[in-house]
Amino acid sequence: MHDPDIETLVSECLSQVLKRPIEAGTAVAREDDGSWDSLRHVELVFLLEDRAGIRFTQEEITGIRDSRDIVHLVAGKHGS
Amino acid sequence: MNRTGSTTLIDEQPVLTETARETALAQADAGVATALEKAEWQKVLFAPRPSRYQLGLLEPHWPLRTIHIQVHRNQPFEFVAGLVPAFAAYADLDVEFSYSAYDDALNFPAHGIADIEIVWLDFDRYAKNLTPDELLDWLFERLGYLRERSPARLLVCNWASTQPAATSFNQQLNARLAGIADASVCDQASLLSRLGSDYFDDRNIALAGSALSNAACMETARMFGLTWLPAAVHPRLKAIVVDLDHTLYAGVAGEDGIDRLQLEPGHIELQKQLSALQDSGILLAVCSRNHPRTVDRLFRQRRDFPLALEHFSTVVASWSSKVAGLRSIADTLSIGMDTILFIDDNPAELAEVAAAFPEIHTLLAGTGPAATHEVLSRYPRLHQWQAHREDALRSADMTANRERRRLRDETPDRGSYLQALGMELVFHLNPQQLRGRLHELSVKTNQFNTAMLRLSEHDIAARFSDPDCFTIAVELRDRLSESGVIAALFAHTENATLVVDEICISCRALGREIEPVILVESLQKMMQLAAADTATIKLTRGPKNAPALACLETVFQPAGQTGLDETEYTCSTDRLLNIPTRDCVHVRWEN
Repeated sequence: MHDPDIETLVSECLSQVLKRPIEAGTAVAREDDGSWDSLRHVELVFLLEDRAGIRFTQEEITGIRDSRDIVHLVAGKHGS
Repeated sequence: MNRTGSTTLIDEQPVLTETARETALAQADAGVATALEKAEWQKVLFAPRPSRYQLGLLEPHWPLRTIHIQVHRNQPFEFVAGLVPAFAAYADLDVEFSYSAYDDALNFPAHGIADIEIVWLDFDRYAKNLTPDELLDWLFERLGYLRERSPARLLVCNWASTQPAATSFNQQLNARLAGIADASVCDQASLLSRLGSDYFDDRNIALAGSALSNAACMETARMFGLTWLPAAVHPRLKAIVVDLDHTLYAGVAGEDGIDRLQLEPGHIELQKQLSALQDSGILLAVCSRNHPRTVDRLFRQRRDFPLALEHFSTVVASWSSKVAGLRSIADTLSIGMDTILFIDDNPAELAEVAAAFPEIHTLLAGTGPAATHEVLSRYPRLHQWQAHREDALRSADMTANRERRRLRDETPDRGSYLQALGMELVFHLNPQQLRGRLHELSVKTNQFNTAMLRLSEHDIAARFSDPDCFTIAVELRDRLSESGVIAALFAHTENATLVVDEICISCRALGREIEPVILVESLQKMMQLAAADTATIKLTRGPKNAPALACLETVFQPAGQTGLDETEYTCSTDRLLNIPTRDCVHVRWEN
């Protein structure tokens, strides 16, 4: 999976969970987005794992701060 | 098989006004669009592991009924609730959730009116401090409190745990919850059994206070949306009509030859599943484009089929349209199209039927028997919380109707026919043990239902504890079959008058002239107990209750129109004694 594909996938997942349109490549941070609470965070993790066919560790889940972290994590799992 | 009658009906459609025609066409279009859209959705909703992303993209384009659900919990339900809407929409429901605080004590602070109350507890949190018996005692004290404050159906999720205590807790929960009106168990423990260790995901405990995995959330949401919520708010479907070729087996009976039809393992499972549904009270019928002789030979020759001709209450095999076939089936079974599920492998057939009957339920059997089995196992409105004696009797009673019709045609006059049936009516006054069946009659009868109050079990339980209320259940049997409890009457006293709130008689019992007997016998008893010399019966006109209206018009005197769609009938004790009833029914009281 190439980075642009991953960015698209991440933006689609974020759009669905945060219930607003988010374009690919747009930076979205947890601390700046009031709707990205811990419940939504878990939903987002479930959705990303579902779509990308990957599994995050607990540390990775708690370490995600923004959309860029997710892109790096997904890219890393697909590259490894 | 009654093919000619149905065909005639199609030809004799009344001429529609332009507006009515446009409305009918719009409804037909909507029916087709819904049937085909739902067939598309099957691939996502009934997949072995539904995709969260695909679920989120589904948008229903058919009308939904909004229901409000209050969740009482000590753990998050949001991960489940977020997935429920697509599943519920397939069952024509739009769900709105509201949540209590995380509350181990279940305080049930004041909240708005809900259609359903869900109790969603992580029972592991109590296990250190309470024994299972103590936990049950506490839980039932709280459920009793909630029951008093809310008339909505209570859905209590059981204990999904590998702890040994959970098994006995769940068994006792089932037994004790049966004693609370309109309360049912949602079997989370069986989802745990199915998913095994995949049910839990400890990664989320610290972050969100939930140990449920993605798969557990998905399966729970699927059960709520497709099975538990529809069963809580909709009456159960009454019949499944199946196509034959490429649905119950692979091949075409009329072309391939009966011996060459393939019965794959998936077909065997599907046929066994249909047989089990019939055992649980769902009527089965065949609607097939085949020669009747071919269908007859098919079931006689293929002894390896789990389904036999006897499983079907009616079989329509003909070259005319399936619309005509389904109309004939609905007429024969005396049921509405909105209570039928039609299964066919051909989307064009589903579309044609949905155009004629937008209210019918459809299932596309296009992707093989295993997929059809999967859809059917979760199809909305087939689940039942509680089995009634009548469920096991229904199919045999419908089969006996064929014999009754033969007897009627062979007997010289109506009186002799009714006498030959040897009918017996057994009356029960305030039968608390029949609460579930009385509720079923109130919500499922349409043709003979005088008020359509759609009483819940909770409503009926309240009537049992009110000394001014009377409830009567009536059982029917004749020499051909047991019909079980086929009538319910609900009444109360008001200023020395008996007010009959609702009379419901199952359509299976109609046509044997027992309605006046049921009315007279029940009213006499209740008026005597209430020391009332007058009874009033209110009839609310509905789209289908013409038989009830006709009966009341014949038996009683209309006292006048009380509203646009309401008529009130009165009857004195003197008049009651003079109402003519057939002298061919044996009557007795129990209790």
